[in-house]
Amino acid sequence: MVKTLSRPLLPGNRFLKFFLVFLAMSHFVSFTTNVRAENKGPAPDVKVGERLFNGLLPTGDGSKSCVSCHTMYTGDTMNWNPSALEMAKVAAEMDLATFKEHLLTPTGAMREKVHVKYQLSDEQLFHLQGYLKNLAIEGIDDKPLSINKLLIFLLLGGLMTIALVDLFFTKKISYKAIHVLIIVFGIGFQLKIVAHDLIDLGRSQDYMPDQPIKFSHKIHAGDNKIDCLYCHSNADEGKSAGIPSAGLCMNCHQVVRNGSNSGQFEIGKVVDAYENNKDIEWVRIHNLPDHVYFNHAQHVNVGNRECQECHGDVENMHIVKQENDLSMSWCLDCHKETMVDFKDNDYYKTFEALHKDLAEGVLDSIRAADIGANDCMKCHH
Amino acid sequence: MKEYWRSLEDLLPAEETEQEKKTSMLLSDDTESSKNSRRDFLKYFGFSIASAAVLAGCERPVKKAIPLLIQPEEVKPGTANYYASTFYDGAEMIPILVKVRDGRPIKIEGNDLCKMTGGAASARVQASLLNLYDESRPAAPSLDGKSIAWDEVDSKLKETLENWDANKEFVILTPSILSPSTQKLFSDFKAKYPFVVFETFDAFSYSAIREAYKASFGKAIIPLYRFDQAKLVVGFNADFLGTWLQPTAFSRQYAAARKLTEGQKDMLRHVQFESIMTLTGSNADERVPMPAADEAYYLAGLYAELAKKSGISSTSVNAPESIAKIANELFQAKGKSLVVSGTNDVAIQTLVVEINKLLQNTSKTILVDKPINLYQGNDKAYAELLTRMEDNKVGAVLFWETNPLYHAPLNGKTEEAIKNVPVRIAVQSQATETAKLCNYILPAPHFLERWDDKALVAGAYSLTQPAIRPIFKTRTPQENLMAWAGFEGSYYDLIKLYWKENIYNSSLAKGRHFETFWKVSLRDGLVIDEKVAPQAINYTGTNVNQILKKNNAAISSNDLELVLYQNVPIGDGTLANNPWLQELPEAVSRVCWDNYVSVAPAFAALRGWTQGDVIAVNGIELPVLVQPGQARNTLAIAVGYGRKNAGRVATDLGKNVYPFVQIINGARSYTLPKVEAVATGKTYELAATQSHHSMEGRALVRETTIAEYLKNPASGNEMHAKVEKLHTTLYHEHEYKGHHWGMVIDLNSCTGCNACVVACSAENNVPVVGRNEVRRSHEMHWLRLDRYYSGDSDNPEVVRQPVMCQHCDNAPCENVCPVAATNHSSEGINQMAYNRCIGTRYCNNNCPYKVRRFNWYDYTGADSIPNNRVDVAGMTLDLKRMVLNPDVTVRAKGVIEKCSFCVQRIQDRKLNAKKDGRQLRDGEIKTACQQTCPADAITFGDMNDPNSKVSKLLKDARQYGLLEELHTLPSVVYLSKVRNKDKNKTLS
Repeated sequence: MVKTLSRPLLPGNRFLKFFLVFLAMSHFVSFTTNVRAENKGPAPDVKVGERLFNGLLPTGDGSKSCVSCHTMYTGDTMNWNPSALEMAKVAAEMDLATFKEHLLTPTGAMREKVHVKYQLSDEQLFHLQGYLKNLAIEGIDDKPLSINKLLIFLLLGGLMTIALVDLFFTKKISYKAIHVLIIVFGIGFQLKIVAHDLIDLGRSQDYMPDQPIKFSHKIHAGDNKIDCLYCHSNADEGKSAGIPSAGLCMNCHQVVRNGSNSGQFEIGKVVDAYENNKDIEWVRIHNLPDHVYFNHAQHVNVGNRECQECHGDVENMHIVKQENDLSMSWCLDCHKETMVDFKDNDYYKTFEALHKDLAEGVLDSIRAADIGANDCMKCHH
Repeated sequence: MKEYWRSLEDLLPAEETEQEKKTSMLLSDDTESSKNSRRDFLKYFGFSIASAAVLAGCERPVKKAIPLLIQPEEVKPGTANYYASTFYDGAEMIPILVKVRDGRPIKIEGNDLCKMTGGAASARVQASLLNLYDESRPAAPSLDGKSIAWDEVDSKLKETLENWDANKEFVILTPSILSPSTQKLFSDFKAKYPFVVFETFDAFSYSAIREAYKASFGKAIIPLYRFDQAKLVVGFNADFLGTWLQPTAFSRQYAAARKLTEGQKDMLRHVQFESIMTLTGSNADERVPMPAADEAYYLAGLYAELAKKSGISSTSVNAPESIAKIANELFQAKGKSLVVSGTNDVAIQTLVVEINKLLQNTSKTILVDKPINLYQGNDKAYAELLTRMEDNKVGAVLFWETNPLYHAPLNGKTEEAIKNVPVRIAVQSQATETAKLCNYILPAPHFLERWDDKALVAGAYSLTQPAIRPIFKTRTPQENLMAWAGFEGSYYDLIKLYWKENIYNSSLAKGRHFETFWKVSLRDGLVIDEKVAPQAINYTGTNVNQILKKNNAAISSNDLELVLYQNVPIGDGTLANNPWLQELPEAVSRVCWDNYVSVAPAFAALRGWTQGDVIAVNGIELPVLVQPGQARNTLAIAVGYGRKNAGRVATDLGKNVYPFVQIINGARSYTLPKVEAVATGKTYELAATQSHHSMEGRALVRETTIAEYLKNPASGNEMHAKVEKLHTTLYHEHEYKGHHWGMVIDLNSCTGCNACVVACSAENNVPVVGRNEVRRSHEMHWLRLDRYYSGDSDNPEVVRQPVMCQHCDNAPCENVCPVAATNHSSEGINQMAYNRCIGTRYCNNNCPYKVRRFNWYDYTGADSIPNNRVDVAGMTLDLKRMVLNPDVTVRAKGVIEKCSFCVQRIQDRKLNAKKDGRQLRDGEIKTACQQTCPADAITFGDMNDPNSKVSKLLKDARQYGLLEELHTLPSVVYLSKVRNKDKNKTLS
């Protein structure tokens, strides 16, 4: 009961869910105070384990809490340590002795440095592993709601209600213009929030989901200067840029098994997938609506565009996010400005009249939109 | 200009029909349901609030992108691969290319390396793709209704076979097997188990042709016909452009011999004698209605006339006048003519064989030394098999993709015989009636999921290769036999070995290794070994005097006769569980989703029947369709309907008339000489697309005769020059700086086979709407084949016209769209942005061609609101949605759609050219309709390129635009039709 209510019921930041959030928050307060750490014989106390994990109970002098490295959510910064969930999945497979060994007498430079400070009794370890096992089964809750916008929305609502009440009943403020101003601005601002959210409904600029493997484009494309087309070779030939197969990863990772940041953990996942025939379920970042046709080859191969023009500085991103809003106006504006490689590609010989204009100096260049790039059916068919 | 009429209603006074009354009642305002109440208002108000809330609260789903673990070089996400394969449904065999996108076959096209079809495919080939995703296919093996593992099946049947009582037969009933490897497997299997007997059963029988050749040439063959080598074709009840033998190949030959483009000046003349109006008859230069019962008499007369001319003595027959005339013509075209009959009657087929022999056509237009392997079944042998089964001589029967219970019930004899066999096995890729009687149901893969090979004619081999992994737990029938006989390896290995040992030779492989030869053959899909010797066959002759004597006069009784025929979409009914085929309007009547009784207009008038009256023909109740051109005392019903166990779409759709079929003189007869027909007083509304898009009284189809055409190529098309003179416009003219796409349709070539319609549906995700929606004129086909009659309703002339969006330069639709959802592209395409459309339908209203289609409901599952959905054929199921083309938007409710000139194909080929850094080649872009057209009637290309084929055809004097007087400047141009006949009918 406590568990279910203390987690935000719905993900995301949509303000219409505020009731649920409030309910959740109030219950969280009332129920958590009633919970006691009880040890029922051989069953581990998950609560104690959770407190240990989160550093609410001491784990040894000068030691960091587990969660400070093995975070619950990985999206915001690149944290190279295995996440709490990944840890939990490993720990759930171990018996207590192995767990203890792994935790207290670690191998590997990074773990040795940090883990050496832990001082945990067998009982504490038992509870901790119990918590991790539980976590491995239940999974991590969705990210807590960001309620800034929602609060503003509600605050405005409250203000307007007070203004209305004062206008008709309490009449504390004599200048009615103030009421009117509050209501007009309130409604205006609320409408703006609504409109903004509605427009955003179909777009997802800055979308930066967690991926199943902490793959860093910065390390691959930036530091090691691997060409984008080495992995996304299909961008040159086909509609989709393609996500490289695990087989392609193994071209390098057959040899490179120790990452500079995450050790063997993340690379191990690729090796595991490759060797044990497991799919890697990447989360798709750039999504176009179904009624839009986009072809990479047209832009990368024919149009000679740099990947970064649409995808941003991927070589500096640890975690890739959607750089542009991918809205129609964004496409059209670019088509209006982008020059076509009119002279070198023989395909364009068909446009005889335009070639004549170019030769005679009537036109100085041909933009994509001039030869129909912005026709509806070029993308909507 | 002749007067054309589109349907019988046009000829009759404009009285409100029953249908119209119903419609007007529905449309009238004073019905209960149209009253809007306050409650309704609140309901909708509440609904909109609720949906807004749902919308605001919804999360974008997290989409996964899962790459292949090890990506084969040739498999690229988002890029289609084409695999050569072969279509064969027990009727027609056509080499094909299968378009596979991201692991899913999404389109079938004809293989253009095939000389016989030239890359064409029929409507049924196009549609057969959807049968792959049929949810009612048997999914796993079962024994007596309980599912069972393949291992268990094998061990049980192996045990059965090994402990067999040698006095009994183990019968395997197959359709005509074209596969040489399978033949080899059969003989190996028989060597292992000598009690196994292989029998052949064809869904629709052509055994009389084989019998006739056996009588005259000593060998039971069906020869290879060459319509393109003939100057005069006379057909007797043979729908060779629609369903008879190899309609796709014949259509191609026929159209090629009738082309008047590229300087060809003479064209094949075609005369058709027939009792019902077939697709072929409607294309004939002259057509003579003939009672089916008199066919033998007509042919006997023809034989006697020709014998007289050739100086051969024979029993004299007093031939009808039309026959005497055609005999003259035929005799003049000796060696360059062709007489064919589609009736499964040995006497008739014998006469046809002998007539062609008299005309010296044998080995010129009829290649008897190159027999085809289709329709090897023998009805006598089948009847004998049934007797053996009844006499307890058969211990087991295996139905290998055959369904005799449906196709030849023979008064319940088939059912009794099957029930009398202890072990009954159905090896089938589709749900069938026969499987219901079987213990074992062993699912077989669809032909797109399996390996096979075919040899249509000796020396012409083709391969079938899988384009997808089996969707269900199926196993190739051949592999069943291999498992039960304990043969090593897979069927693929067996085919390869067979090819290595029997087909491969170094001259055929051009000196290459077998492995290379195999890979090349697989890539091409077919191999033609020109050096295979023609089969030795000699004319032995047969005495036809007996037949002549028996048929020396017309049947003069007034008995009603019934003709059972295959229609173009459904054929013999094997692929009936296919929504695309069911929705495809029948080639002549334009009715879909039902079969019906066609009745001649005169007879209907006599009995007082009108369209939609339900009558009972020998107890089978079906609605009447009044069919101009049908012989007066003939009734006709299409076979292939009324399936009892076929799956969701076809089960209980229409009525089954196969029970009328009897074996007469050793062949299944599809003609009943005497039937009773009585009115039932009921009515039934047929889903007809016939009078929906009426454009009466205007010169839509223009035609002339060959003599006139040779005098003046613009004859019949004089109006074009007149209209051209009046060229003026208020609008600014479009300037096309690069391409200007255009399409030319040669009405002289189009036979109306409807293959284009299905190809278009498959390519462009055109929805299936179902019978009720078609009744409400809501059909969605982007391309329709208008059919007009002219002249006498007892024997009218027929013209056809494929009509799709005309992509007008001055498009009336574009001006009226309030949201600019439809506008003109820089390449001359009238484009339609679905996501912009708000559904006012102004464009639809303003289009003079009525080619725009409105999504009244959500038919394909594009919509998120479940109440919008109308799905009669399971087209919203995940399995069936796998057929959708991912490059074409799936339209939701409330938007207009129409032909886009296959813009996705244009874009794709343009991109290929750009990537290669070269100009587009003429003919590189083929629209889906053009690609599949067996008659090569459609040409597509760049009108800005003076050397393109389209530009050249635009200079033809026969060219005109549809409703060009409106000055819409269409980009689709028609070439007028030319008939090879004198101005007046000469034969009737």
